[in-house]
Amino acid sequence: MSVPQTGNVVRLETAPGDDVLIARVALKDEAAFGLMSERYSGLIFSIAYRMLNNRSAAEDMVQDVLFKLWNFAGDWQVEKGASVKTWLCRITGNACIDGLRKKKPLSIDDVPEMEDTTQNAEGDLRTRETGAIVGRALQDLPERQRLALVMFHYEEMSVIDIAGVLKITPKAAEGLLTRGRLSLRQSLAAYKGVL
Amino acid sequence: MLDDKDLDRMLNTYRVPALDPDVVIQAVHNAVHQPVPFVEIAKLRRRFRLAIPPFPSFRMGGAVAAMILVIMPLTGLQTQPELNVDAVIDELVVSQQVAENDIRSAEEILGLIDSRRNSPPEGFKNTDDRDEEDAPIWDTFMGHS
Repeated sequence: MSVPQTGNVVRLETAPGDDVLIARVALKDEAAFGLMSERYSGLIFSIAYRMLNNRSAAEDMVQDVLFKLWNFAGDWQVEKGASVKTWLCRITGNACIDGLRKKKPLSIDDVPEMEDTTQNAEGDLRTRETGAIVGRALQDLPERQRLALVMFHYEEMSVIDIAGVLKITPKAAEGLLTRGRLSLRQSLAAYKGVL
Repeated sequence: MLDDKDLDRMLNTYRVPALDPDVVIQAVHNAVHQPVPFVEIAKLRRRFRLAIPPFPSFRMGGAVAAMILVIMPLTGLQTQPELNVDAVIDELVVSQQVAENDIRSAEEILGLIDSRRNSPPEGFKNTDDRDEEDAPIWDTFMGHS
């Protein structure tokens, strides 16, 4: 009998669903809030990082969105049919777009932060350089195209879910993705064959 | 023009760094306990990140903001011409309004600020570069009032 393994399985199988957790967060249950924060902070950070192309700003966004989750969890209940993930993606996306529109022309936060390169092989340097180019190309897209692409390509969200986040029809979401990808294919054409 | 396959390969090179667990811990702590007005913390954290290149991290910026907002009004330090680091640390501990991690961060920050006060590092945003609205709290914190 393997108690630890059984215990882990049971714990995973009985982990509260988002619906249960957010209802508890609305009642100011700190443990439920902690679980939700663990579950979704990575997603929030990932979307924010690719929307803002800046680590510090993305970390700020994690705090902003979790703060909204704690204070406005009760509002989610009125949105019938929307998943918690969709709701959090919408909050994150809107907050990023608001942040981009308020952004000053130049600040130290605009300077990309250097990652630790000491453990990376030379081959990986080229990958990171290409990644930086892609990051800049994404920043040149209109905000909603960028958000749609980030959710579709990096978060593997469906067109229907993306439409839910953006509050548009699935067809309109497909249009955003198509136009965004077309723009990227054009702007990144010069780098074909880099990898 | 790139084809779809090439584009997907390029998109996959744009990776996200690992999220520092401290960010989540502090976010949860601040949301639940809200030791000081959140808006003020966020504003000051951003302001200090801009103003203090040696302390760019979220955790340290948040600790500085919390410390200033919680402690300075209690101690009247905003009127002191010279910042007394030990006094601030004492007040931080006594007030118990910030988390233990924040206190440790604040100690590190204050120590570093104190040691750098007379030798700003390269890229330091000196008083001439600051926004006017930043001046009072910055001057107080750096003992320039």
